[in-house]
Parts: sequence; C-alpha cells; structure tokens
Amino acid sequence: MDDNIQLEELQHDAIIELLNIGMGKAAASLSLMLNEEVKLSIPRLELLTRQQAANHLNTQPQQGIVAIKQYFHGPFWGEALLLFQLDNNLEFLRLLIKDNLPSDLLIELEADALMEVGNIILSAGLFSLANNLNEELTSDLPLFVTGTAVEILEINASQKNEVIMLLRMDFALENKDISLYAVFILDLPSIKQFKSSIDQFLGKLRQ
Amino acid sequence: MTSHMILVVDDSRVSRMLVRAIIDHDNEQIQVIEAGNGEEALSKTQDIQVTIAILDLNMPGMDGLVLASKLLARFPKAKIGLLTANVQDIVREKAHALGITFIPKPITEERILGFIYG
Repeated sequence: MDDNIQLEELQHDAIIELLNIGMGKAAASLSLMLNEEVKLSIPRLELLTRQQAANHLNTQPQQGIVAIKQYFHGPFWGEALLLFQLDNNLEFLRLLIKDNLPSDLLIELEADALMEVGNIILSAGLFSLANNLNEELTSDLPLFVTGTAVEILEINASQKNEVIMLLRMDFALENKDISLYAVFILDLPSIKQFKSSIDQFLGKLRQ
Repeated sequence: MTSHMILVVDDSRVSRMLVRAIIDHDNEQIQVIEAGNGEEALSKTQDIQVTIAILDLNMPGMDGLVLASKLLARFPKAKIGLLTANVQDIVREKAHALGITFIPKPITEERILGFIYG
C-alpha cells in the first residue's frame, strides 16, 4: 500500500476523535428529530479497496441497501453515506414526522424524509469536522439510492482494487429495530490532502 | 401575529411540512406560503408582503443566502432565518453578514418559534 496514505498513531487518533465529535453532534440531531435516545458505536477507520468496502457495507447481502449519498468537496473530498437498516420503515417515518399521517402518504414521503435525515446527520458530521480542522467544505444535494453495495458505491471493474479510506460509525435506537450507519469514503488523492489537514490540526495543538 | 405572512422555502417537502405544522399548531391565523426553491419563492411573493421568511441553504438553483439577499432587496424589513444542516462557522458568518438569523437543523418547535417571536 502507498506509504503516503498510511497513518501514524497520532493521526489515526485525531481522526477518530474528530469523527467522534462530529458524529456525537449527528447523534444529538437524530435524537432531537426522533425524540429517542440514540446509541453510538465506536468509530472505525480502515484503509480498504473499494471492493472490500462494498463487502463491508453488505451486512445483509440478501437485502438491497437503502442509503442517502452526498458528495462533498473542499481541501479533501469524497462520498458521505447514511445507510438505513429499517425493519419497519413506517415506524421510523412516524417517529420522524410526528404526525398521524395515513400510511400511503408516509410511503409517498419516504425518500424525501430519509434524504432530510441523511442531510442533517451527514452534514452534522462533515461540517463539524470542517470547523474543527478550520477548513471549508461544501456538499452536493443528497441523493436517495438503493441497490447492492457495489451499485451504491458505483464501482466499475477498473476501480475494484483502488484503495480508499473508510470511516464508519453506527447509530442505534434502543428498543427499536432501527439502525443507521454513517460512512465517509475518501479516495487516494483525497486521503493525502486529508492527512495534511490532520497534520495542520495536530500542529496547532502542539503550539 | 395575525398580520404575519411567513414564507417557508425548502426543497424537502418533509421539512416544509414540519415547519408548517409547528406554525399552524402555534397560531392557525398565520399565513404560510411554501416554495420548493428560490425561483418559486420569488414568483409566489411578487404581489404580497412577506414579514418573515425561513429559508433552507442548500437547494437546487439559487441557495438560501442568494435568495435571502433578493428577498431583503424586495422586503427590507423582513425577518429572515437561514434554516440549515450546514453548521460550519463560515455559514454562520455569511448569515450574520447579511443580517439574517442562523437556525440549525434539525427542525424543532423551540427553534422555529424562538426565531419567529425572538
């Protein structure tokens, strides 16, 4: 693997800590939206090939994935994804919309509602990271995507072995069959830039 | 509050529904105009007086900051809030520079009514 993308222990710790802060804000936002306690997992940071990343996301290969995808741009760039594992979509939508709407209207609003949740959670994570790194990021409009992990990550044959950085954190609602996974993917040139931003952040801490 | 005309602009229908529900629940006399983007908002407000506007930032076409500056040119006394998930300091600063209020998403009754009555 390219030595330029390997992380030193301190860089790794800094990324995990910044992800923890950003996702903590995202969890607080989700909790406010749903009026439920949200449990957060430990952040995961891995350097993988795109194909390995797809395998990683396919927790239930027999089921298609429902996800919200947002491309982000700036000094480093990539894809932010919020993956939903919902055994009961209507229960989740009712928690979110807090209105006694008929089921057919809720189903009509599903994509819109999930995009709004995705936008809020992914933005909380990304832009908190940007604030802490003193960088400016922009994001595209959220996309509602479904399919296999390979389809969602839009992996073609030439990209399968490309190395990417995968950052992941899981959200779960206690007593409800609702889990969400936030994933951030950076490709090789972006990883190098991201490391540079992390080094600047660490440099300021040492001053 | 009966004379208020509140413009709500967001490309998310769910977000517009949430804001409208909070306003309706508080005071059904307040008139709410919804638009899904900036162009629609400008078109729908050509012949009316907007006193309060709640604008999403990231929308197809013009963003909420551009829309805010156009609305302020048309309604200089309007109170405008930028309702956004983009919590970057730079966005807060841009909102502040325009003289509008930064309202972070998610949408809550406290945040929406706090802006309207604050």
